[in-house]
Parts: sequence; structure tokens; C-alpha cells
Amino acid sequence: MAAPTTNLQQFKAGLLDNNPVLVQLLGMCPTLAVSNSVENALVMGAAVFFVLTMSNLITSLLRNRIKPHVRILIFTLTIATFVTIADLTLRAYVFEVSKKLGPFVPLIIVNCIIIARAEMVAIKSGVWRSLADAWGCAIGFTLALCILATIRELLGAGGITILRDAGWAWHVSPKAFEPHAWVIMIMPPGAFLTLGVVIGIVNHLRARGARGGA
Amino acid sequence: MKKFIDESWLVLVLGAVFAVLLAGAQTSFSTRIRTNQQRALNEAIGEVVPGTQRSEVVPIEGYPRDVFKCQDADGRLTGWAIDAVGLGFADKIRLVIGLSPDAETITGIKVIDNVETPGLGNKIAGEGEDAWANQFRGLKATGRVVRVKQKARPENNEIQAITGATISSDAVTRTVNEAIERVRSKLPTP
Repeated sequence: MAAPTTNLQQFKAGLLDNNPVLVQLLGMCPTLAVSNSVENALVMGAAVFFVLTMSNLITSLLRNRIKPHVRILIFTLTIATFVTIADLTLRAYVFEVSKKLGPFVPLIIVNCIIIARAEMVAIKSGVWRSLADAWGCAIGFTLALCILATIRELLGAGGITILRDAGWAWHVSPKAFEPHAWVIMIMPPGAFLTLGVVIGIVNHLRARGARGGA
Repeated sequence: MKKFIDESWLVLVLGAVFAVLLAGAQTSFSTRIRTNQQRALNEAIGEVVPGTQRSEVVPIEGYPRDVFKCQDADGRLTGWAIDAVGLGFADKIRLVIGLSPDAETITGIKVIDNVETPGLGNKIAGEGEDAWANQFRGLKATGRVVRVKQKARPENNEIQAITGATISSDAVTRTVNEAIERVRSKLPTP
């Protein structure tokens, strides 16, 4: 995998080739916990998008002023502030979902993806490069979570429900499927099983792509 | 001193800027969050005291949190609801306790706020027919609720702890007991 040279390549890398969850294998804990429903995955993805954007933006803007020995401190300070803002926003606007996500939104502070991107890209790159990276990784994270969530929710709950506080629900799959649902899919073992299979498939596709391209 | 400022001025400035930002976010969202929490509380009251159509706060001497007198659409007393908070394994647990109109029986409890361990402790807030909290329904409010472990058939005012989440189970039991003790004798006679 060649190092990205343009901003667009940086963005695309975060989506697929360097997907933070499926390739870099970072942020596994929230991935396992929050992928039990598509709604949770989307809201979590939105929160991470916001935090990653602000973190990369601020780190990049201040990159020439951050002294090396305080950089981790500054990263953590920035990330913690924006996670708190994201948490307050979720609690104000999508209260039910924020209760379901529970401690995992505050735990974004220690999500390795965000601090890794600050350390690897934002501290040494210009604003647009850093933003491209943030958006690529955030959308890649959301994508990975949604793939897992779709599988788990379809098999485990018999359908996908994206229910808003306003009372809007979207149910896919006939109710007849529900007695055949594998409840284990929405529980922790299902998370590990689904993640393992998806990573296996991704690795296989990447290996095949590498062989074909060489 | 100059060296100290030289090394850390950015940290101090960012700290101050972020503090202001957070204060601003907190202020702008606090009303909405409180409305949401109030709505969740009202829903919980409706669940733990069946038949409730409206509730009003009754001040209870010596108890800092809200206690509600619950009535149905015709104004008949359906029961009492107590807003209680206790310390759980991870952080505070907030729950609503429902009492019968004569305050002798617990009609149910509902945990409305918790950050207990997902999959273990947070079963205290589980919903559905085999919810853990359903054990509290029908217990006597006249004595303490007792938490037991691995007992095949809990009897008279005992509840079974969640396997692997004894501390969370204890926290809920303790909170329920303390709240009922402090409130029950001071309820206005209907």
C-alpha cells in the first residue's frame, strides 16, 4: 500500500485500504459493543466524526506550536473537550439513543483511532490533509460499524429499526422472520463472531487484491 | 518561572479556551437535557405505578428528592412514586420506586439512569417480561428487601442478585430500602 500523496488519497485510504477498524484493528471495544443495532452504529459514527474532525483540525492548526513533550496531554485535552460536547449534544437531541450507548460515548476519549490519527497525521500535516484523513477514518469507522450492525441486527432481531425520538421507525424484513432470529447475534458472542468473519473476509480480499496487482 | 510558561503556555491557554467552550455547551443544552430527563421520569412513573395518568410532587420532610402522588384520570390515588439516587458500581444509579396507595407494597421499580457495566451490571435496567427489576413487584414496603445469591427460590422480600453483578444488585436494593425508609412514614395520609 503506497503512502497517500494527495488529500483525496488520504481520504480514500481511511475508508478502505487503511480502515481503522477492519485493517488497522483499532477501536475494537466500541465496535463490538455498539454494533448491535444500525441506529447505535450511526449515532456512534456521527459522534466519532465530529470528535475526529475537531481533534485533527485543532491539532493541525497548532502543529507548529505544540511542544513534543506535551503533545499527548494536548491531544487528550482536545479530545476530551469535544467528546463532552458531543455527549451533551446527544443527550439533548437523541436522549433514548444516548442512554442505549451508555458509557461508550464518553469512552470515545480513549478510542485509539482518534489519538492515533492526531499523532500520525494531524501533528505533521496541513489542515486540509488532516481533515481529509479525519473524514476518511470517521466514515470508514462508521462503515465498518454499520456493516457489522446490519448483519447482527438482521440476524438477531429480525429486522432493522431506525427509531427516532420523534417516533419514526423503519422496519425491514417481514415479521415472520422473527421466530427464526438468532438472539446470540445481538449479544457479545455474536459481536466477536461477526467481527472475526468480516475481518477474515476483508483480509482475504486484500490478499487477493495484492496478488492480482503484483 | 519563565521556562515554565515557555513550556506550557499552550496547555494553559487551551485549558482556558476549552473550559469556556464546555461551559457554553453545558448552558445551552442543559434545558433540553432536563426536559428529556423529566420525560423519562414521567414515563417511568407511569410504568411503576400502573394506571397513573398524572402526578404531582409532594414535599417530604428530610428527603431531598421528589416524591410523587400518582392519580388516575378521575383523581383517584393510584399510588406513590419515589425518585431515588444511590451509588452503584460505576457511578450514580437513579431509579423510580412505585408504592401502592396504602404504601404497604412495592408496585415496581425502574432504573432510569446508570452507567453500570454493559452486559452485567446494566441488567438492572433491563426491560421486558423477564427483566431483573420485575422481582421487586409485589414485595412488602414495610420491611427491608434482601438481596440473595444463588438461591433457587427467593422468598419473602428477597431478590436474586444478577450473576456477576452483585455490587450493582446491592446498590439498587440498598437505594430502594433507604428511600422507602425515609419516605414511607412521612407520606400524607390519602
